[in-house]
Amino acid sequence: MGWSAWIPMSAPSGGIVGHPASVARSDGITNIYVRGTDNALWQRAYFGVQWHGWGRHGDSMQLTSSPAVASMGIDHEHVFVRGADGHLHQKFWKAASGWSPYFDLGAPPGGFKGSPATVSRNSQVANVYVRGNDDALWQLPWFNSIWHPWARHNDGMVLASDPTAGSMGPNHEHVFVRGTDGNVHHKFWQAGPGWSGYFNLGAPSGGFRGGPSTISRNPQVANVYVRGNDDGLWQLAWYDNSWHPWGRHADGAITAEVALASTSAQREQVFARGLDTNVWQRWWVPRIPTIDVNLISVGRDNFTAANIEQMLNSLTATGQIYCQADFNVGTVRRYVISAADAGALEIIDSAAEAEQLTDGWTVPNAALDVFVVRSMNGADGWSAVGGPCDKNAGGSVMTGTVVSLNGDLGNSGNTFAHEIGHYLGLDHIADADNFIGNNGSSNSNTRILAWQGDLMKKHCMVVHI
Amino acid sequence: MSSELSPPVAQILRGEHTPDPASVAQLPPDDSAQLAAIARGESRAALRVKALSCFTGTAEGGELFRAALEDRDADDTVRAAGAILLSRTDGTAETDLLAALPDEPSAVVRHKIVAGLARIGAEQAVPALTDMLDDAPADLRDHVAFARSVVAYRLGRTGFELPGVRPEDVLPAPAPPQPAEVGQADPAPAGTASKVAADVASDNYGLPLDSSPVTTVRCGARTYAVIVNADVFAPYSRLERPAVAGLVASRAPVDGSYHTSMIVLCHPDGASGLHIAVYHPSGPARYVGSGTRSETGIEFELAAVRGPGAVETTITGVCGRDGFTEFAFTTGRALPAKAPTPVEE
Repeated sequence: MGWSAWIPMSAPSGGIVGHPASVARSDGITNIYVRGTDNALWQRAYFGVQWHGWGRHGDSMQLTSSPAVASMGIDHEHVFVRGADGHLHQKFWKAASGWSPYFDLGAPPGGFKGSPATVSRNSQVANVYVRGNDDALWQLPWFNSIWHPWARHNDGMVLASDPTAGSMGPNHEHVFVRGTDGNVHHKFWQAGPGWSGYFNLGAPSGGFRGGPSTISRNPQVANVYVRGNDDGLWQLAWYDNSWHPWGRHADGAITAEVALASTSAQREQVFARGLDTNVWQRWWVPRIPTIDVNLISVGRDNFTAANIEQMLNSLTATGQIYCQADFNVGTVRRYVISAADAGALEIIDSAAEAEQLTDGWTVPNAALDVFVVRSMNGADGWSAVGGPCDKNAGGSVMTGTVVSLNGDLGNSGNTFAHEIGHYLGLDHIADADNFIGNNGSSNSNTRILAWQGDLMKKHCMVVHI
Repeated sequence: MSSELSPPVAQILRGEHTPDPASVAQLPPDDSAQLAAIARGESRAALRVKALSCFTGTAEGGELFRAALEDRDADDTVRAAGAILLSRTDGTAETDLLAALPDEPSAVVRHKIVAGLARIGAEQAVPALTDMLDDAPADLRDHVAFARSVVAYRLGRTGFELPGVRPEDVLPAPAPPQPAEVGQADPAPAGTASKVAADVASDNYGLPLDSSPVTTVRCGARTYAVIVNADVFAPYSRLERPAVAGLVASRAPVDGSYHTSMIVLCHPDGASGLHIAVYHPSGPARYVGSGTRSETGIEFELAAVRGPGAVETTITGVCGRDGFTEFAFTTGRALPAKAPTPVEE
């Protein structure tokens, strides 16, 4: 599918200050950290195939920077912040013991500006980088199970932004900074040769604001993202052993540096602060067969912000279920039907009412119409099995699926995947763990079998790029 | 699902469809109490609605549904669920529904209450709905009028006949060169009648399902069960008065369950004529036409009513007390459906 649409992730009350930080410590767990307007650390977690709500860390730390986060293993995560004392502070989470208190890691002589950056290239090493008050790059390394002294990179580079760091393997680390020329500059470390000199990677046409962000989702790929002076998201990609030209993401406006995470070698997530100071997410997966979706809120006037978020996240969950079978949700376009126009069909009582909805309403394009109601009685969703591509076939078959937000996100995420699966040709199966299994009572389950993906990919609405 | 739920309750709430009442009845007392507590007062509306539906067909259901309908602090989806489930469970719920209707602030809940009153068919709903008509908001007025007529037709009362459809709103018959699809009507396979009767038992609009003949009609991917009201052809035929002549139940492809999707209303039109109209339960007319009464049955012809997504259709046939002796169903061109409004991102 390439890039998904931007999906709202809300924010702690009042929005966020600065930019988010994110990490995926395993293929099923992603965490976002932000500095709230109360200067506390806030966290939002993805696990169990759903995003959970924002939670405030109950410690007394007052952040004076955006956080940085990394993981040294699937059961470890650590967060770095600048405190009110100008020092770097670290806390870590382990599966066995939960969150530690904060540890004061001091600061370079002369202090530092902005927010830290961190990376762990393997489970024994962590590095924190900051922009010193002397505008040099400073590094605080962890190895042999202890923190070592702050060290200055005496390479002559004058930083005009916070640094960002990434790793393309257990013996590789690289740092990107903005130079005083307004360009991105890159240096890398390899076991043996050590640090390279800086390479000038240029900048988006029109320049960019703030500093860069980077991630490597596998040893062959690195991406650098910046916020352009046009507030668009710009990307510089390394693959096939070379840097490729800067490219602009066509949609969305961002207001800070982005945070990045990757749950697999073929998945990359971007978290950004939007114009509304909320966090927004988009992700990249390889271009695989996709189903484009028209997401139609029925009785939109009565949808709360939480309803909309649940609706969008349910479609995200659908994509994550389908991705397991190399299939995905493609372009998502949003539509509304007002409560007045929906009338009694704002809440669905039966399959007959669902049919009435799809008979009477159609988006005039080739994508699948997914009608979303806040509530449904008697079932969580209804669909044709092997629905038509001709959406003007009203009267003889449902020409879309009707899904509800019944239950929690786990339920509705499954409902969306389940009903869209029906439309694309799947019947219920007996497998209790399957997303369309247990003879229909599969809600919250996420397993998908390869043949189910293959069958869905044969539907005439599926786009093969 | 919330982690504080007991595993059996969590399992029941995970169901994609309404659970079998027997599985709810078999819950251990503590679990049953937890499920009832969620149905009674859970703050998360989406979870409470699911819990409420679990009590369909159970002894505790009526009280829980009534409490949900009356809970003004709850989300409108909870009150809507209360209205729907109450009208399907408790045949004497009209008093509660009529009491709730005037002050109910949510339009969709008002729709569900009105639909529930039509479903129950109690005589006292007729004057109450009549009183409501003048003051009903515009979005509800047509539905109130329709519900009142359904109750009146069911009771055989005159004076509440639905107005005829304007000729310009009746679609022409499918005609070449438009591709026509011909529906197939067959006697229902063995077991269909009892399944239909069970599935639409709480949406039967007064039809004696045990004795009414069922015919299946297939059109495209859809299968319908057409149920003819046996009372219509009983001695002293009700066709001398307005009547609910039958129901059309559509078969859900995902699980084979039947749901009442259309109501067939008719009233006398002249000495031997009949006005026949087929409506969605939420009010809009779908097909209209006429019939002729004879000793052996009714010969009829229906056409589709203009509307978004409507399909040019001709339905003709002869119907007697044992069902259809003739039936033809032809469809042609579909009118455009309405287009939802795009969201500016």
